[in-house]
Amino acid sequence: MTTVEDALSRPDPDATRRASRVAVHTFRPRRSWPALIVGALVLGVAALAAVEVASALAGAPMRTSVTSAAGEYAATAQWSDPVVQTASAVAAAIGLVLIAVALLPGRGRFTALRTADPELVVGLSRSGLKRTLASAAQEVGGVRAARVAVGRRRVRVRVRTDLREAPELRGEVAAAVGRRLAELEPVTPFKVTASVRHTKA
Amino acid sequence: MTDTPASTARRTSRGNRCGLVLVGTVLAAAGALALAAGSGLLGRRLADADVGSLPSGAAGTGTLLSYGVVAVSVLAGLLALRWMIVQGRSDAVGRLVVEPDSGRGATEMSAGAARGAFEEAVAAYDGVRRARARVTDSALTPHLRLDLTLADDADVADLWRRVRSEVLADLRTALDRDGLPTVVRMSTTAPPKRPRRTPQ
Repeated sequence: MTTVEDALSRPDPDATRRASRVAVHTFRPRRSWPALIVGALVLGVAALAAVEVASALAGAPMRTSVTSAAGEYAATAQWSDPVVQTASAVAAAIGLVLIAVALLPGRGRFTALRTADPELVVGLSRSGLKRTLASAAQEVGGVRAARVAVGRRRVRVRVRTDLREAPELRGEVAAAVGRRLAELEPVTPFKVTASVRHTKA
Repeated sequence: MTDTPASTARRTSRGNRCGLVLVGTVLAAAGALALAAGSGLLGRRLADADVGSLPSGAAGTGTLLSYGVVAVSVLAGLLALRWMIVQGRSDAVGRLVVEPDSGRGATEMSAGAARGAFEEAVAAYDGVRRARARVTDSALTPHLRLDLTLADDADVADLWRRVRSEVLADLRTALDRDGLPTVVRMSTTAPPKRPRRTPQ
């Protein structure tokens, strides 16, 4: 039977989808370092150009060693020179790299968890995710040590055991880690793979 | 409703992406153009021309171009400076407005007071080692950021649900707000390797 409370508390699928999108975007890296580096370089080049040209206009040209060397080289070099061609190619490549840095989503430090509430974003750090999944694996009987690697879409669990023969251990570990993941409800689902190593007696 | 948690941070992030695309496009276009010029795609005459002949030839046509170059450089420099400053911008605010909808006047409270109570309540939870709260974005539309450091064996899923249903709900009531966009960031620490010995 569906009560009014049930109907009210049931998450609206639209809100859930929006909440997931907001959560994923919130934890995307901000690209602060690329922005700082590029900003500093643009500032430097712009300042140099402004000072050079403005001083020339004022009638007292200020020449820095960088620009006068570049000017001397440019006066004799042709566009078809290999050096000029290489420099152009490098500039174009750096431009493409910057565009890629801006457009590729990148991977943040936090894994977003499902909240079904667009106003609440919850994230668990990657090391936190590793630790909690590793502790889930260690709770399985017979596991001596567990190591977890978290990828974009995959979780790899490697456990060590003292047991000589434990054919079902791999499945048990994968199931335990899967259960812990299901409790956490990450926005992007993970696929769990487990492997078992036997310590030599 | 466009108010999502951490709006300021997301705006900076969007700005960074736009800036990088812009600079990247300019560089890629200039590089491609220079490559095309050198390989003779824009005419054999240009490929054999001196690199320096183009700017000096253009500069000879008048000082108008020089003024243009100065203006563009100053503008680009200022924009770059602002871009860099924005990176270090903290989105934390020191005070927030309570009951924003009550027609006359507004009640302000220090964000520190709200933060302190909130941090204390969360830190008392089992499995929470450290809690740090920040009020961000603006006094009128405050957002909350909560950084939690959890013990290794804490029940992560249960913890954030408790934070939402207890402390966060209380804070929303106290501030008289229906919504308070919140970002909760959780990380864990390993238990201390050698626990401090208690004197006997």
